[in-house]
Amino acid sequence: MTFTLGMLLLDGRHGIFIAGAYAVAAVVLIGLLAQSLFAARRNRAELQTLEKMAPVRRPRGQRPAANAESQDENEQEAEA
Amino acid sequence: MRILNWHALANPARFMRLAGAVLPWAAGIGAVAFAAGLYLAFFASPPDYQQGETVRIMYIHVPAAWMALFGYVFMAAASAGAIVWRHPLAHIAAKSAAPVGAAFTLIALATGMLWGKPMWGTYWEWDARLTSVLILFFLYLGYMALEAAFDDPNRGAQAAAVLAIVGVVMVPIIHYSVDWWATLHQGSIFRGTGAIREGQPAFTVDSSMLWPLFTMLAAFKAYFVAIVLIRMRSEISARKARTLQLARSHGAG
Repeated sequence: MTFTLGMLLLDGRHGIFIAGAYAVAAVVLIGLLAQSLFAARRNRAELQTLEKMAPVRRPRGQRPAANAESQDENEQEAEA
Repeated sequence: MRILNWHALANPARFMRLAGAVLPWAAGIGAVAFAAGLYLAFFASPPDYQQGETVRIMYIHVPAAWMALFGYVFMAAASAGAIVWRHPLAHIAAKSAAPVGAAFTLIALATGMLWGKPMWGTYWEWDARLTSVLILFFLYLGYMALEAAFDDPNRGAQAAAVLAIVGVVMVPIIHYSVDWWATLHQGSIFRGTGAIREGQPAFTVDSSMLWPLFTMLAAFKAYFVAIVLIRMRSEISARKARTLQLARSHGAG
């Protein structure tokens, strides 16, 4: 017998548990995806705003912060 | 021959470029695998002779449980990479994987409860498998709370990394809990290499049920890769913004 979505929803005995399980999974996965995309967009926008502002002048001889992305690639490779 | 140089990825700019190339593929594979997995789960697999239609819950419950363990091993390995090799992106990888692993653990627990009520007659039973997976969920929450608990992000990352490495002991306990203790939970569907050598099928379930199971696992894996990459890129942007803000405040002061 072929299973159909209508049968699932009309199955009074166990249908609610099957539908509930897939609904929980969908809510959790879509919720996490949305939260991740929202946070990524917010962080990228914040970074772009800061980068558009006037550049920071470092005192002569001071190295940039270790986790700054703008660190020179060759310098990182040399460290690695 | 150098197969893969992990330190080449230590450069955030290079990692951002690589992640940007991988992300559309992971998202595409995930979307296709989800669609195929749902089709196979609902329309192309038969009802179980004992469980009936309720077996369809297994097609999300089992892959989610596998991903819960995989996520924790990934997180612990990344934490070890951060502590032992001081890889600059390892802490970020572990931090990004924690909520994804926790989400899969939550799905495994919730769908297991929704399967347990019609099959066992109860939503919850304090047996070894269920309890150990609940502890795994608390470990994920503990990792995230500890990571965020310190004013100094480096101290928080170090403390959380130690918790992740110590907590990895739960992974074999969860896996073998159905063998070590007499539990209500079913045993593993994989018979083991010994059974394969004796000519028995590798799995205890029919191939018509294995296809939706492994297709959903592929979808979950692709989802994991995509979300971890999105969160890693987001965290790198946030750290760079923080560094710029600090530089500005020092410059102004």
